[in-house]
Amino acid sequence: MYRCWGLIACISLALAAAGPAAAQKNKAKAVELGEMLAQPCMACHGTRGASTEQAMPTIGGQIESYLAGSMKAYRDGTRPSTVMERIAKAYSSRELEALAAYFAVQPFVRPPQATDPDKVARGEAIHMRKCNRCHLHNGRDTSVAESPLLAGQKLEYMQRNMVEILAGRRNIEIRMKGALLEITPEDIEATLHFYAAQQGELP
Amino acid sequence: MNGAGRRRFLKAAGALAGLPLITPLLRAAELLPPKGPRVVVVGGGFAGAVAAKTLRMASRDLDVVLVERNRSYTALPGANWVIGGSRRIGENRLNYDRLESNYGITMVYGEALAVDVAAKNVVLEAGTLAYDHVVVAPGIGFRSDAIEGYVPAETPELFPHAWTSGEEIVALKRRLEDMKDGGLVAVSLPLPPYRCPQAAYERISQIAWYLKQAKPRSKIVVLDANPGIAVLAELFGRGWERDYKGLIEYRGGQAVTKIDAARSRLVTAAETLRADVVNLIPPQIAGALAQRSGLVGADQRWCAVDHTTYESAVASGVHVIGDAVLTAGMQKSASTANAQGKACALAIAGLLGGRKPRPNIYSDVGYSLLNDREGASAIAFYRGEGRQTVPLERGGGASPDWSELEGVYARAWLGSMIAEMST
Ligand SMILES: Cc1cc2nc3c(=O)[nH]c(=O)nc-3n(C[C@H](O)[C@H](O)[C@H](O)COP(=O)(O)OP(=O)(O)OC[C@H]3O[C@@H](n4cnc5c(N)ncnc54)[C@H](O)[C@@H]3O)c2cc1C
Ligand code: HEC
Ligand code: HEC
Repeated sequence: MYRCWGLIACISLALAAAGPAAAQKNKAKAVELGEMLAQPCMACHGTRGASTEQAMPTIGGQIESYLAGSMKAYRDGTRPSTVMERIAKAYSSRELEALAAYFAVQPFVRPPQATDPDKVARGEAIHMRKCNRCHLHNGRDTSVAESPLLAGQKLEYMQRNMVEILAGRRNIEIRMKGALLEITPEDIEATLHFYAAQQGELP
Repeated sequence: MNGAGRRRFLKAAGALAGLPLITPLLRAAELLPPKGPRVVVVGGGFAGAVAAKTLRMASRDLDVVLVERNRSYTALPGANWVIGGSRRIGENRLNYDRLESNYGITMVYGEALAVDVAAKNVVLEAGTLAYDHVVVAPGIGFRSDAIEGYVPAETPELFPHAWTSGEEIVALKRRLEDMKDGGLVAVSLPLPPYRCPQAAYERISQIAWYLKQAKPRSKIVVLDANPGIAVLAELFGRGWERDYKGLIEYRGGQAVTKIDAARSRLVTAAETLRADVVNLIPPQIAGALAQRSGLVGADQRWCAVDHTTYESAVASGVHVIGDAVLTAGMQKSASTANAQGKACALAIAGLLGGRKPRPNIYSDVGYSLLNDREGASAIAFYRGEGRQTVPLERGGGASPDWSELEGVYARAWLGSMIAEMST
């Protein structure tokens, strides 16, 4: 988890994360461009991508490959959306990557959400059996698979997203299909409550 | 400012009815000694509040002062839904306490009388605030002289515009509640550019939704100075046809030129109309502060700016954002104001840090609700090119149809916008 305040801090964190010198320089440039381009996104997704609304996903602190992949899928019309296709189409691939680079180095903010304690408990057990393989550390870590962070994501948004995935409206869900086919919709609902109940920093 | 410019400023400032003569104030004492490079933002609306916050996020070394006349702000977006009954006005109210505590912005509550460009300070009744950069975000004023018989101090009581604060919409709603079933509502719209034309068509939809539930024998006549629906025309047309057929009568190209408010009459070139409730939205100009400070351009109405830094075309170190800005084509909206506020703040932080500002891309996302559930959006993208905003060739556009899902996101957008400017 990165924390940064202001452009310089964000760039140095991006640098630390990026590795070799040339890659670091490109990364810093992308974050700088991304900061400028990202401002209008925050009107819906919250300041630095930390959503304040149940319906809107948090994108600040989400992993870069997932952000960039989602934006390109919206642009190409391969992921269904109400507004994001019309938005993503306005940017070049380089700009979409810069947006992803900027949001990826913001903190993933996890304020308390209203969840059902029974579902959270049941969800944890299911998560450990079926989902932890890819959504590591209660959904807070993606160091192994390139699956998105789920811990602290907005519950209402995840529920809506899951309906989309289960209905086969996203063609990238294949990677997760095995796990989802083995459990009931109630089980899935319970795991989402478990993810939504996660607060604070990565332990 | 040169001698002539300064005289013009003093004249503009002093000429204002009801304001104390400005000359002695120019010598008034500094209210707050600057704690570092200082940016004073005037106006805590959708443009100014987010600009102040973004400045502090970009650089903690900046001394950011936000001047606002009111201690609380009632947002206009979503306030139309109060008429339809799907929102309470309290949900639109905010204050600035958390901007102070979370971001270290200094709030000064009071009326900014003028920006003194030569002295580089903002003049308030109590004293002055020196600045390195000033951001002027005063919203709109009305061109009441455009309508014969319009008296700024009286007419809005009789013919509410409900166009400068969410609170005014509660008064408009009360009128509709008091009206008999079978009554006539007239809504008069000016020619663009004015504050958020899309909101005007949403207003009509929300009045229609209310009447359909509560007073189904009533009717709305729309007198639009524009020849046709100016934004989301196809969707509003389709939605009105589907839900409000016979309830809304739309008349394009009908500018109200004269009124008799006491007898509840509106006059256009074609007709004289008497209505039970009149929602008269007058033609508009940049807010009074921009007029008083000599910041309006050749058109005498709006402030010309550079669309990279939002620096005024007529005064250096002075930036103007929000509805007061002259933009060709770009809708005056909270969404635009928010985008401009942030771009301007980053440009100023960059300039103070010795970085060269770079042209930016702006988007305007306008959501509207047709009834209590269904929403749609219009999205437009622009890039700044000197004093112009140029529409992008790609991206943007309107929703394919009204949908409940966009209704959900319309409410989320509003919640997020209010949180952005106040937390
Ligand atoms: C009914 C309605 C619905 C709308 N719905 C939408 C919508 O859905 N989406 C959308 O994007 N836009 C919408 N808008 C447009 C939106 O409200 C405006 O575009 C937006 O408020 C502009 O922001 P601003 O900061 O420029 O001005 P304002 O929000 O008007 O803020 C100006 C602030 O400056 C203060 N001020 C002014 N002069 C002085 C002074 N001299 N000293 C101290 N303080 C001063 C005022 O008190 C005020 O707080 C709607 C408008 C209306 C009327
Ligand atoms: C008008 C509001 C709005 C704006 C502005 C906006 N988004 Fe979105 N975003 C949404 C909505 C709503 C969704 C859900 C998909 C849909 O219906 O369009 C979404 C979904 C997303 C997702 C998927 C997140 C996930 O975890 O599944 C990403 C990534 C994203 N947006 C990035 C961005 C970026 C980057 C920008 C700025 C260029 C942006 N958005 C601007 C409303 C917005
Ligand atoms: C094989 C690895 C894998 C397993 C196992 C897995 N997931 Fe996923 N998950 C992914 C990937 C990859 C994505 C991204 C899908 C995409 O790109 O659209 C994803 C996406 C999601 C999303 C959508 C997030 C968003 O913001 O759009 C949710 C919710 C989710 N997973 C929940 C679960 C649950 C619950 C389980 C266990 C029942 C599970 N996943 C098991 C890999 C996995």
